[in-house]
Amino acid sequence: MMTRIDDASATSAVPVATAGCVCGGEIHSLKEICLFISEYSAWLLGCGATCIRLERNVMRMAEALGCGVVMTILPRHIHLSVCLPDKSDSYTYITATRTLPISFDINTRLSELSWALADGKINFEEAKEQFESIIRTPPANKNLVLLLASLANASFCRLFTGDWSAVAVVFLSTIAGYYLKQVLCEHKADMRLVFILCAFVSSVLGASDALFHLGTTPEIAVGTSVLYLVPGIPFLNSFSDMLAGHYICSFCRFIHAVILTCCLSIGLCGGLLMMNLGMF
Amino acid sequence: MITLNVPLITWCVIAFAMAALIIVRICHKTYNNSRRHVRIFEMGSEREEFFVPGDRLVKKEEDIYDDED
Repeated sequence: MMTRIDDASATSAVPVATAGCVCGGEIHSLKEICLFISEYSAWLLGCGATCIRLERNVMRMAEALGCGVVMTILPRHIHLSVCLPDKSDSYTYITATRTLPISFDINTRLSELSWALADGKINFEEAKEQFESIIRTPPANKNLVLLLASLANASFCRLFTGDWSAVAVVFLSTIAGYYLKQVLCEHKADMRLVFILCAFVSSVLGASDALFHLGTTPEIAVGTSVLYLVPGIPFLNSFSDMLAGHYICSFCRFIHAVILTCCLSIGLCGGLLMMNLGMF
Repeated sequence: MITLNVPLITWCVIAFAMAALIIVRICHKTYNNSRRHVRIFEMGSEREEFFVPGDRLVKKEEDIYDDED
């Protein structure tokens, strides 16, 4: 926290960040604004936004609130300084990013919130209320996600010219693997272990096509049965951060995605080995 | 012989384990839901016993049917 240093002649202690910013005819302290934007940033980064998205949203809100913002985005923390336009006072806060499952819903609604504040449709107090309601958004229906993920993976199998028996096998193996993933995540299991186990289960069940000679494209069934585990969003965010010049975040996200991909590969190789299927 | 059976045994173990996991969790969830919502015996008001669909809905505090006659 940065404190304002007054001249030595001052006799009484000056409270930190007494000056404020004007928004919607109301004055808000720098501390209040800084804490709100820090929480906002931690949630937005935690739900899967890229660094450039975070910067844009925060700058937009800071401009609407009539103050300046400088931020350092680190993989696990956000260091945020809010200052008055004339730089006469500032407030700094460091917050840890939230560990959340990726949620496009929360991501979109937080972006909409920043636009609503920037366009003057809501004031600062309403923004805080809306933010509280957004972060309480319940996760999507698990059964629906399970069904849709399985259908999507089965569609991938069809796209890769798999026959209908392969599509059915991939659908069932994805249901089993994704269900196991949900169960293990509920029990807070380590994500690397989750990826290894789910990839193993899905690849073993995906090998049903080869084991029972059900169709003519068993290799496509095995290959696409683990596609739902590919960490696509971390890879994409990593690339986006690299283009935006956030190399530390980009590198960390890339390493995280590579570790998950390695775990996926270990599970897949284990499955292929146990099912006596050749890889190369 | 053992080598030939390994894939089949592995597949059976995984398939039955997953089926058991899914069935047990569904049964557990269903049992919990049924215990929470459906009660064989419960204390109800007089109005609930004699309510006929189409009757005027009254608020709880003005439940006239539970008055002592």
